[in-house]
Amino acid sequence: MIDPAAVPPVSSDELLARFIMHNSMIRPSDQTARPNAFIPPPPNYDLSVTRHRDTTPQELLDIARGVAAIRQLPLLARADIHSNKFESKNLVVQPDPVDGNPNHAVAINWPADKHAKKEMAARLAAEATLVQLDR
Amino acid sequence: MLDMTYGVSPEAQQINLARCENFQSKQLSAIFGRYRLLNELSGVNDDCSDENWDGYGAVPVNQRSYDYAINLIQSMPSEIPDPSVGADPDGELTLEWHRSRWKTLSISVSADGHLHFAALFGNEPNGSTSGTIPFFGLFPLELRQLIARVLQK
Repeated sequence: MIDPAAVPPVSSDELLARFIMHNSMIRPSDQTARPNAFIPPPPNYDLSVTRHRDTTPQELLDIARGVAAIRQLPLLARADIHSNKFESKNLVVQPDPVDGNPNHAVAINWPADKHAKKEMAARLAAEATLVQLDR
Repeated sequence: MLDMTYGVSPEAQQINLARCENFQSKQLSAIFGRYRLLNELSGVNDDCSDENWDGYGAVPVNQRSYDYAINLIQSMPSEIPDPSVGADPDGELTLEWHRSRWKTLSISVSADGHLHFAALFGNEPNGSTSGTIPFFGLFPLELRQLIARVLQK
C-alpha cells in the first residue's frame, strides 16, 4: 500500500477502484456498473475511490472487505477505472488517505446540475470494468 | 358548449363506444401490465430506505420521488418496455432502459416532480445527452424518443 507518510498525487494513468456494496448498482443482465455507482452522494458530492497503486490484489481485497465490514454491507464488486477518465470530464481526483486505507482518494469538482452529474456518471460506468468480489 | 354526442347516429355512437372501450382496455392493460415493475419499485424503495444504504453516505429514498415514480410508470404507453429500477445516492429513484454498455438511458425522478435524464448512444465525445424536464402526468414525448433511440437495433 502507499506509505501514509508520503502519499503521492494521483497520476493520469492510475487505476482506481470504486467498491460496490449494493445490488442496484450492478446490471445482472451483462454484469456492468450502473450510473448510480458513480453518482456522488450529498452533501459534499465527493466520489470515494481506492487507488490500485502499490497494492497487491490481496491488499486491495482486504481494503474492500474492511470498507464493507465497517458498513455492515455485502461486498459485491469493484468497478475499475483509470483516473484520466475522470480528468477528461473536468473532474479532479485527489488523494484522501484515511485510517486503514492510505490509498483512499476522492473525485471532486462535480457539476451542480443533477442531469450533468448523471451524464458523467453514465459515461464513467460505461468506461469502468466490473470485477466481482466475494460472491 | 356543444355536446358532440347530440344528434349523431346510432352507428356513430356505437363507434364512439367501441373507441372508449378500446381506450379503457389499453389503459387497464398498461396499468396491470406494469404490476411486476411496480412491485420491483416497491422493493427498491424498501431496500434503500435506510441512511447509508450504499456504504458511501447515500440518503434514503424520498417518498415523494417514490410517488412520482409510480405516476411516471403508470403513464408509460404500453408499447414502451419495462425499465429496470434503482436508486441514486441522493434519494431519487431511477428507471433505466439498457441495450448495451454504450446504449442506455437513465431517468432519475426527483422529489419535486422533475425528471433528470442521461442517455448514451455511443462512446464518441458527442455520444451522450442529458437534461431535466418537468413531469405533469403524461409520459414526456422527449423521453419516448430517447427510449426508442437507445433500444433501436
